[in-house]
Amino acid sequence: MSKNMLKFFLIVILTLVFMYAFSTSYTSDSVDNISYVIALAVDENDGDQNLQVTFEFMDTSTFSNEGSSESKSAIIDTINATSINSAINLLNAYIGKQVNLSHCKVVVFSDKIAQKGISAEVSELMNNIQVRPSTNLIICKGNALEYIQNSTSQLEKILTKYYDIFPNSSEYTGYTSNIMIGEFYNYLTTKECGNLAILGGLNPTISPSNSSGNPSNESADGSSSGESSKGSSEKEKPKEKPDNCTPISKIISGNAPILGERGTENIGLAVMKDGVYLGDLTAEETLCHTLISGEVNSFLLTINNTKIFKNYLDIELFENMSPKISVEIENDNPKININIKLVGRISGIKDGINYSDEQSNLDLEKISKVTEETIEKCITDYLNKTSTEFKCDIDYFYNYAKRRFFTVQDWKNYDWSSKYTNSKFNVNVEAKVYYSLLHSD
Amino acid sequence: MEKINNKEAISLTISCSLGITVFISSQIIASECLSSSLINTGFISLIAMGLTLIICMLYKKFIGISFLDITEFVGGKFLKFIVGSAFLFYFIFTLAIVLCKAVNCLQIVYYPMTHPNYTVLLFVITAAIACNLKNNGFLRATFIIVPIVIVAIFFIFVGNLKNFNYENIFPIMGNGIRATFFEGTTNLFTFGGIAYILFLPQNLKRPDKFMSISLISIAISSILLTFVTATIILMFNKNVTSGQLFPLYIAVRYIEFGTFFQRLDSAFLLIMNIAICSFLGIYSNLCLGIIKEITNISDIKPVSFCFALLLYASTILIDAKFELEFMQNTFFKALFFSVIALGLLILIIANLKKSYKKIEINN
Amino acid sequence: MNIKKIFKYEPQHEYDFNIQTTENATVQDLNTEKIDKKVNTSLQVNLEFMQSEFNSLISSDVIIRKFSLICKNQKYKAFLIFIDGMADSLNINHFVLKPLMQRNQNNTYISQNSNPTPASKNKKNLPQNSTAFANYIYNRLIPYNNLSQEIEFEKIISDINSGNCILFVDTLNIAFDIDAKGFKQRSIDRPQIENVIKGPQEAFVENIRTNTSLLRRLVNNQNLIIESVEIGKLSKTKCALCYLQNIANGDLIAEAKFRLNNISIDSLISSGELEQLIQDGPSAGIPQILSTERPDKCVKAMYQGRAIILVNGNPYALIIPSVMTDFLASPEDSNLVPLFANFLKAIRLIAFIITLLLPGMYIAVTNFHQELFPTELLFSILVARENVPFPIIFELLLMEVSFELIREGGLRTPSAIGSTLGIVGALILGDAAVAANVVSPILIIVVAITGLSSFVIPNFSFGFHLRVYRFIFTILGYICGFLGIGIGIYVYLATICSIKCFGVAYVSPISPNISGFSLKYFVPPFWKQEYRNDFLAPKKQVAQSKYSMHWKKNVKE
Repeated sequence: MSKNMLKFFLIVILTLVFMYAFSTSYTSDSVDNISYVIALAVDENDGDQNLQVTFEFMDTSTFSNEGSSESKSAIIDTINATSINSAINLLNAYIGKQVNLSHCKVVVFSDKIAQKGISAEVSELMNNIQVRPSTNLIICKGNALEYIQNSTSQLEKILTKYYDIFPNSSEYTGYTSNIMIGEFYNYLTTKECGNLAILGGLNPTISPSNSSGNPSNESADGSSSGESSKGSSEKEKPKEKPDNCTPISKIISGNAPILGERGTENIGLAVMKDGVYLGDLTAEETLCHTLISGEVNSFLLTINNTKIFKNYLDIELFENMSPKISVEIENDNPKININIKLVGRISGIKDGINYSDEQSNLDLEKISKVTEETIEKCITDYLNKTSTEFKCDIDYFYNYAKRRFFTVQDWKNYDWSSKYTNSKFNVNVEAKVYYSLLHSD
Repeated sequence: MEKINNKEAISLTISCSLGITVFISSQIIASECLSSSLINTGFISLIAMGLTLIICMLYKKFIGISFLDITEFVGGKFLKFIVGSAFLFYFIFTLAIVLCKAVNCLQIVYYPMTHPNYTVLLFVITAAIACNLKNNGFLRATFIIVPIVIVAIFFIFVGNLKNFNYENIFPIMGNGIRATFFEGTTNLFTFGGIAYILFLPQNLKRPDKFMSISLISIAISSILLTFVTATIILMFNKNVTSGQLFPLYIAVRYIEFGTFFQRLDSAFLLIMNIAICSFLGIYSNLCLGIIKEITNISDIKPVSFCFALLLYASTILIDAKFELEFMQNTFFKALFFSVIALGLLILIIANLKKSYKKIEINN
Repeated sequence: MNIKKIFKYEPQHEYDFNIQTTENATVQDLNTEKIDKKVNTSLQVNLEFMQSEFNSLISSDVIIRKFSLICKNQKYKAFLIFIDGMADSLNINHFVLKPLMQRNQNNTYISQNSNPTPASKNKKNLPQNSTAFANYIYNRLIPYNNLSQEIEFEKIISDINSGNCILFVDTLNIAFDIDAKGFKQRSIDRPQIENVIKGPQEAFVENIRTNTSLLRRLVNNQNLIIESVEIGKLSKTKCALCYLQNIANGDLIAEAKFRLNNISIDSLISSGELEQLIQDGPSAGIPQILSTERPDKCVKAMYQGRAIILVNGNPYALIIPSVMTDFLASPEDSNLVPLFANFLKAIRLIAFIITLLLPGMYIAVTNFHQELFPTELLFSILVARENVPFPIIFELLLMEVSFELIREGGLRTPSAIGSTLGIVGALILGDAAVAANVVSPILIIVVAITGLSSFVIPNFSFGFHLRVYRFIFTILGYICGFLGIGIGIYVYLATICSIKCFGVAYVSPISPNISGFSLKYFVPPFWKQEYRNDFLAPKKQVAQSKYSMHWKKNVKE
């Protein structure tokens, strides 16, 4: 037998060996044998199994041209299990195809389970090689299963597009934040700070409420969150559209004055420490947070100062540059300095006064000053809330404080998490408002 | 072996350090030095440059002469055999441990149902093929591959800019001055290229450019190490750096541009697979060259398959029998310092001997 | 109706013909006959020898014309031998037979110095007389431009085979070799494969002399050397090695001549065969030597310092040495502005990558790395594959093979049916297969893009090897995803890098990167191409002065 023949046979044998060796991997991972989860919801289960895990799959008929208008866009399966991995394991046996989380867009935890702590579940997800670090993490006020069920695509045909896009509103509203599980886990493992998650909720105007999401518990402090919302088993009648206009300072998911087809809303943030749910940030507080973190590019501020204006004044503000933050240690307590520079333009004025008129009581300098004061007050109140109520650093000022220390051991000895409660905040906002209405009376 | 041009030599040396940097040392540096990793990186880079300079100065009297021939000049054939075997052991160990780490990562991510031995076999066959190619095909292939890998590393750095937390470099001294500057010196093992440099002069087309080639390649290696370490430190906290997968791979998972370009980690692994093959090719050829010198075999090509089997056995052994953490954190570092110290000692003694006896070495 | 005949047994007549093979062919079997004979002074001996060599009693196109030659008013017996259809009969009649046979001023003139006494009559002065006689015929009687005197039968027979006409004269121990070639051949036509829009539209033909004339015309320099080489012991195929002696590296030319002169074969028909005989070694199907049908490409190569090999009977010239970037370059590149030329080069590079890797990548991603797909695209693929019963690898191989069948079928069919074939193929591959759920639409797109990309590759051989290699990458991608693809890329790259063509690395000038004077893959403007490629080591490195446009800058060299 010639050398070439031998080489040929060797190649054939090796090919067959490798085909055999890798066959189990590609059989299990082949696109035909896998079902892709687009959303995951975790609820508390009162039974022996601790968790109720809900998996949302995409109905693929949405993608075909022949898909009927009555076809549902998602398929939802719920499993009771002790952990997410065991739920996945059981589901694999049930649905026949292997469950794959590599296209999972959101992970939703109910507030009840979040109050007990979700660090184990988050750790489990992060150690799953399929889960993307860019998956959004949502704490839902109420039942996570209902959240998933009511989370339908309204302006998009495909649900996954909605899941991709909705956190982007943080850049131009500031009422939510694009919090991902990777970032969440990163801060979870840091003892010096708290965590934030997107706060989700069911819209009370249309959903038959099995929800436990009562409108905000602003007065409750973090320690009493376990007593706050109860899992209501009573069904309430679907509500009519809200009569009162809830102010921004009080809006969170679940009480927004919105009437729409989608039954869920994502306004505000959930505050967590060591994976335990402490409380909420309202829309206004979330805006303050995103201003400090520099996440928001532009936002709308409605000023209601009847001493100066008759009615509301809408100002659209843009973040001119990233906020400058510095931390000093005075008398062993932190002093946090925040400088924010904004540029604004008046986008709407209710009573139609031509404020460029010199005889009117409005001038841009006054508006700028009022704007600055408003924002400073908001931010200061928010920061005080984080230090006194939540008692955790959710704006990650510890990063700036670390500069003051030489070694990691010195830093650990300082114990930032306990010192943060005694922090002093010095917020300085510069807002320059320009007139830029297209039309004026 | 055909003589190597300057640029090819630089790419070879960089590739030697790159494999160790990406798979092993970056994780170790980040977990040992914490926030002072960048300082440690700069520090060991300076030491590496200094060491390289010393080697180049010591080589001045032996331009174009093989390191093992110098060893023979110092202590005869027996010493040549011992030293050659020591370096051979170091290179094989480097190959085995990098391969082990890479294969473990691949197994976790993509081939959970496949026994890692098969993946190792695939790489080992590639190494055998690379050794059997004529006209130094692996050399030129490395010259083409290394820039792509460098671009990939920069891309990972740039792609993750929005995820960076620049404050992670504080506290400035991390785990302390001792961990950064004294214990941290052991991280010099990253620069596997220094050991390769010892065997470079005989293969250079222009041996007079040896110093510039060595310094440039070590400089580029240090820049790459800095970028890799910076990516890890600025992105992650401590816990992530002590996982099973190498942190750079985890960093790639965070890169996204809009909703279209996401999860580029498989593309990164594609480039890394090619880089590992290139790494294997270089070291395998080097090992075969050493075997040829110490055993005086005329045609080394048939030995390549035996060498491939040896590599396979070593990798399997390390994976199965030994604790990887201990091997890479302690044993690997000790081995590196041993061979470098041995190399320096040989060169110093050779210089002294030459200056005393004034005998020229014959090629 | 004869019933008996119906049921009558008639044995089958099977025509069985077998060629008896000889086992263990030895070197001695190689045709090593050499004709050592020289021309005899006896015409009869020469005639019998030629008749036996050419089997003139059997071959109908071998013409032997016996006649009486008049020289110095004396008659001598002579004969012409030529091959009908290869020699120009008219020229032979007018310029050979007529002046020799008919009485005219030349063949009756007797000068004082000449002594044309036939050798048989004056045996003492035989050598001198015969030389003078031969010279007289050579100088005075045959008004033909290409005429030589030959002694060796080997040469004579070779020339007859190539279309020459040979004159034997009694008493002379030399024969006159008249280049009276007049066979029909294809005229210079447009290139069939290497079409360009802006460039010249001439291509090589089968006749080697016409091809060399094309080169001469374009080179327009006396330093162009065209060395003739005969290859093939039986066929004695004429080949020409062309180069510019003041530019081409001497070692390269010597090596080329060495290889060409040391080929031991019976026959050589095409340049493809010669390519296999002179290339450095097996390269796993990767083409090492560039072949072209364009004279302008050859001339450009010669001016860079390369050599050209022409083979008689084949319109493709070989350019040596060749590097990989040459296979991805088109003759159009030098006719376009560098911006557009580099754009096209980038397109070709992308096409190269797509042709080689796209099917393998597709199967690797769908089998192992689905996270790389955007979610919506992944679901589209899933929907498309819902009703397809076959695994992806089978689908892919089926479509790839079908595409290759259509491609090959299109080459072989006459042009009238070719368009129908294209329509049927497109219908089958495209519409019907998808409608029947045999394949998914996305796979059709993958296969179509791969096929289109393969057509973009300018060089046929290079494109062919990519077509074959993509199957290997497909299998590697199927077995172990990006790991297999990565290893395949490395092995392929290393194999390419290990190839050498006449001492030049295949991946020059990327590696080895010698001096930086070489033109890389993307070319600068023509006025910046000051130096020739250093990997060719030409005698003259500088191709143009630093400021070649003197009209712009008033700079003295």
